[in-house]
Amino acid sequence: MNPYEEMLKAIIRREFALLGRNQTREILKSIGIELDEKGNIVNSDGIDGRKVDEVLEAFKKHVGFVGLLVVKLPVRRIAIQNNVPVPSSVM
Amino acid sequence: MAEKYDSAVKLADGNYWVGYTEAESAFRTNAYIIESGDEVALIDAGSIVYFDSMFKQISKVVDVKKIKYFIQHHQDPDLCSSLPEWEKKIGPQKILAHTKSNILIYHYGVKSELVNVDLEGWELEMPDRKIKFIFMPYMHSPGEIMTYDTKTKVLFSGDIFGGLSFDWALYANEDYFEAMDAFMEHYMPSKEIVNANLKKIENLEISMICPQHGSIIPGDRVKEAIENMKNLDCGSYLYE
Repeated sequence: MNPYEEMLKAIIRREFALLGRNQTREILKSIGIELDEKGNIVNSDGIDGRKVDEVLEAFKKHVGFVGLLVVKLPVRRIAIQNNVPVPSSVM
Repeated sequence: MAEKYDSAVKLADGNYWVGYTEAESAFRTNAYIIESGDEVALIDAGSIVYFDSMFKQISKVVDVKKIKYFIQHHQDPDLCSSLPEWEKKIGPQKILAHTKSNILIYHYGVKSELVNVDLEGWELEMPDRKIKFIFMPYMHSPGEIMTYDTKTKVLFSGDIFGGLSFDWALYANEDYFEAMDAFMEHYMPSKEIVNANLKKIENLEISMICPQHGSIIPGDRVKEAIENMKNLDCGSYLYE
């Protein structure tokens, strides 16, 4: 799994807990990301730092400061662990 | 969608959840009561912002004049700022907290007697049960305590095991531990402190964990919750 996909999975897990599964699915669908019944990303091709940024921006509108603060943390952790460039919205 | 409750919920013999559900927020606060004979202990009295709701909620399940004790797990405003309002309704009672918390609770202008549980044997005798207090320093406050009902084995945990969620449920759902991480990562100081304190409850018989934020963790998920928290990177880690 590429680290950006891992970041996206961390975002999804966190948003499932913060916003609930239905709303998370709807927000992701609005930016072209589909999840299967178990919550896995259906089409993970092309997930890169820019896509992670796009996802965080989409959630930012719904979860506000608290939500974004808590979502950023696991994403940042994964970026550091994998020594990959941190998406700009996580800086 | 967050769950809504119009009345208190009985959790165990003499133990009730008495929180409110009208706020659309990820940062929800719970309160609980222990009713024992003709005495009631209110656990984490709550915010002044939601005092009216909580007062109505609690009045439905017990005679508020039976409230003798306010058990405060630490001194923050989300659990202490309603104390002066309570005193206006039922008069000064006893506020039970750690010395380090009571020093600050005094500054809410309370008139109640401040009882320092650390100087009183860490226990409270109620008519049909003994209540024990467990010291959990720096999780997140220096005088942090938990409250354990020895009759029902319910652990009232304050901020510890609390969670953040707009999708709140009274009992922890399948995603709760992730919601718990979201809160604990920021409010717990370090893995070393968390792990040292968790040893105090690892061998305790616990029927459920009732945190001040988030959802109640049922008995069959308590071990998993403790393990989850032991492995959590938190506090000082975030800024390394």
